[in-house]
Amino acid sequence: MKEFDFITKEKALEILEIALSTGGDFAEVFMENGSSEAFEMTLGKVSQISYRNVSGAAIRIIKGNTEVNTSLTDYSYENLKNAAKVLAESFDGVKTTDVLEFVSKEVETVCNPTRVSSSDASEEILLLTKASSAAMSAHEEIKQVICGLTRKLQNIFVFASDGTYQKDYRCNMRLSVNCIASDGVSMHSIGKTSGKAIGLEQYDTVDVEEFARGVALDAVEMLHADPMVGGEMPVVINNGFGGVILHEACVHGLEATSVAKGMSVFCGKLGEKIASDIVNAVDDGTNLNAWGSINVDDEGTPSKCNVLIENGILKSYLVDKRNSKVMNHPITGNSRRESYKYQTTSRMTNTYFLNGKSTFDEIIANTKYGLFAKEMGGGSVNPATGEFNFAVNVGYLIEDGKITKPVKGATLVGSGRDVLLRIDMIGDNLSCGHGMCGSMSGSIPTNVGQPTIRVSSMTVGGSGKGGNK
Amino acid sequence: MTYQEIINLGLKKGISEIELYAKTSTDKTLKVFNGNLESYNAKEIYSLSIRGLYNDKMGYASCESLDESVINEALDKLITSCGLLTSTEVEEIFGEIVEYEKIEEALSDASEYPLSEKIDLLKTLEAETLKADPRIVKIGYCQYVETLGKVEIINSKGINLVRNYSYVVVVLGALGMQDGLTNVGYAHQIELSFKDINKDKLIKEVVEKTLSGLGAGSVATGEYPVILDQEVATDLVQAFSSLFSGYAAMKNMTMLNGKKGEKVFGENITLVDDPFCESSLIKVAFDDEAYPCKKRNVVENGVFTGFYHSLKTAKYFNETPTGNGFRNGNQVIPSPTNLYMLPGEYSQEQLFDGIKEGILVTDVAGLHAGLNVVAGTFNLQSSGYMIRDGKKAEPITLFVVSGNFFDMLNNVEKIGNDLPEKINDVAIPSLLVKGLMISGK
Repeated sequence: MKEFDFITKEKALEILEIALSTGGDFAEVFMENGSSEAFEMTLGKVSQISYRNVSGAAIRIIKGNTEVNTSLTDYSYENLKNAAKVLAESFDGVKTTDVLEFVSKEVETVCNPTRVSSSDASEEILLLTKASSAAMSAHEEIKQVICGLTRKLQNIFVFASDGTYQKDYRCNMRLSVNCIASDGVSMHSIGKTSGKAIGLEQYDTVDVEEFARGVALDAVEMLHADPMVGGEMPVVINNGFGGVILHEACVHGLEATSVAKGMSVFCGKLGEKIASDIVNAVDDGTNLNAWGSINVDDEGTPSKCNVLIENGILKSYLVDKRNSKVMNHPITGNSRRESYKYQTTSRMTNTYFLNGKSTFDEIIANTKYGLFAKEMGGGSVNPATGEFNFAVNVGYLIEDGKITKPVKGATLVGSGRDVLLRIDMIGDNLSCGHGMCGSMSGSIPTNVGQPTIRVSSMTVGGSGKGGNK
Repeated sequence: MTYQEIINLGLKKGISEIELYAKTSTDKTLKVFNGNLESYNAKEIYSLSIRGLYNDKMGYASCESLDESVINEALDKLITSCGLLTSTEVEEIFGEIVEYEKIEEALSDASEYPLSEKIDLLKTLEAETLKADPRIVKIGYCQYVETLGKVEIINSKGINLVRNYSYVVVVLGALGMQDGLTNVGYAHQIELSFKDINKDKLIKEVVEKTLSGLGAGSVATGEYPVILDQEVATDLVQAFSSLFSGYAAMKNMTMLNGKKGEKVFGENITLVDDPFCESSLIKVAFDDEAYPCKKRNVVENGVFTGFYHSLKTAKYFNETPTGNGFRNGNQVIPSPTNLYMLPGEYSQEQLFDGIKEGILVTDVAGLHAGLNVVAGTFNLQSSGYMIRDGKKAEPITLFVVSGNFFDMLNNVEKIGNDLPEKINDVAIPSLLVKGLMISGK
């Protein structure tokens, strides 16, 4: 990675020595450069292409319980030295810590992009054309189709006083299909994405047309669906993006940002039962080429598979270097940031429930009445209270063990403390969906996933009046 | 490279018209936790967005460095992208010499105060909030941010404009606990001057919000008269504000398409977009395309008067630009400046009057997920209070408030008189809505 060669080990050492000169316990420099590109196609026409070159650095010093950080766009050697000096002036002590010898760890490559772009963008445009055409011709009520392809390329270089000296190269590419169906009176929109931490090669094995057609037909189905009638009921949440329930209801509350400050309902619960016995969940940053995977995190720690919940028992939090000391908990390789503009902290990678023993058909057949949440949208949580919400993009009623009529506008709400204990059936069809997770350190790619699960009772919101039956 | 050199280089490469939009922002953020400075973050971020017409197509690129190699790559990417665009919308760069509204740029005095004074303020806020009530067990968020920003717009048609902005923000979030149940309350204040941060007001507000929600119960599913308090009404209108955008209209993503001049909301609804709003910290004389801003009623007595337009969307609809072309990343998306609803005459107590059983919604969550802007529908996690016999009663939580944005603004029975003193971005008074669906137990 030639981009960062101007910072030799000697220069890196010099910058860190300056940073530690006033008594800091730990100092780190994070540098990045790369680009974000977005292609947009509206009703089959290329309507927008934008290119953003990103480059900058962040320096941080930790002393005791205090972290000082600076982010700057000009990362020349002289500028880094000056910034380290100004930052070190935040403290008024004398040097107490030495910089350890730099070691670049041998890291197993879990993301290996091979075809990040085509030379004349023809492949990117062809992909969008295929998706657009399929969605536009899926149904006469499809009135708008906007497809997008985003590509983020990022070179990172992180070196720190604990001997960290790591470089990495990342590519995240994602196709989005957004369709609007209209019957002249009302409108309904549905969007869905497909992405990985590799380039165009990922779409060699995806039927893009089938994917886009599916989104379009969902939009039409939901246009004509009755509004969901709210209340408390069993909810069957489909595999794939359905895993947003684990992401929101639980794992945001396992991130050290909340736990270290005592601002999570899962504080002090390691080794305790937090979910029903059939629940097993992991955060695994090593899934081959997956959307949320990383070779190393933004502190240079190799990513790994962290078991979060084993047979209902809480096994681990997600912990970065700084909070590892505060919490006396091992580092889990989850420190992530959108860019040098954000302070890095513990975040998710690919987070999902493991397979259970039921089949999809068994779960539906065993549900007398409830909601089948086929496609989920996003959600949010307040980790301190555990109260969460997420939207159901495509829903159906389950009546007498069968999926019956479509319903729209359902929102699921609950408390993370209760909902995991109420999971009473887990399917054997694990898959993942691809999202962007926004939190303290910015917006980062994360996979959410699960097999189909059933929650015995949840509050379902909707604007429908009267009964669903 | 200097801006003029970049423009010259672009023109030399065959770009016929070129515009630079440069943004410099300096943020200082302090966080205090458990009596210690938890974090200090000083950011200096620069970004340059370039757009230019090449073969009559507008290309967009941006970068964070003025190095010649970076600029060269950005310009080349811009030119390449123009060759790939197939949409037929016409774009242009503004170059008329016009008189802009005179706006006095008041700059924050925050940098005149030492960091230690700001840290002390946070430590006092934390300590005094904890002391206020034994049920307040932790201050999870105690944060101070000062921002200093500069926007420069320079183009090959003679435009050369600068706009400065600055403000300070304090956010306080407390965790309350009673009988094992928790609640989190937040308060924040945005000011131009550091000395205007009102410590006592912040503490009073955060304590009230944290304690009053403790022990919240559930509510039975049904249709109720609903009061959306000022902050919730603001959140909702803000979340749906893109329905008024010419961009949404051009993309056929708004039910307001073709409804200019028609009555779309109740007669009591007037929405004003005021770029010069006296009380706002962000006053703008020109938008991010250098087009002059103007004050306008977007909705007047329920009648929709027309979309916000950028140069591009105005041209598409053969209308006049409205000075609402603001940058969203690389794109220019028509969006509001300071959008507010004309207040009514009712105090919050008067809004409660005559409601036998109703709901006061004081907080909604998941605004990015629980609404379908295109359809105009919302289904949002909420918390608030029951209203019984005309009075605020017990706290309730984890219910969903559902409705349709258009129906809602056609069914506003009373509008509160509580428009905030300072209008920043969007501000809507409390609204009493005749009936919204509430889902709970």
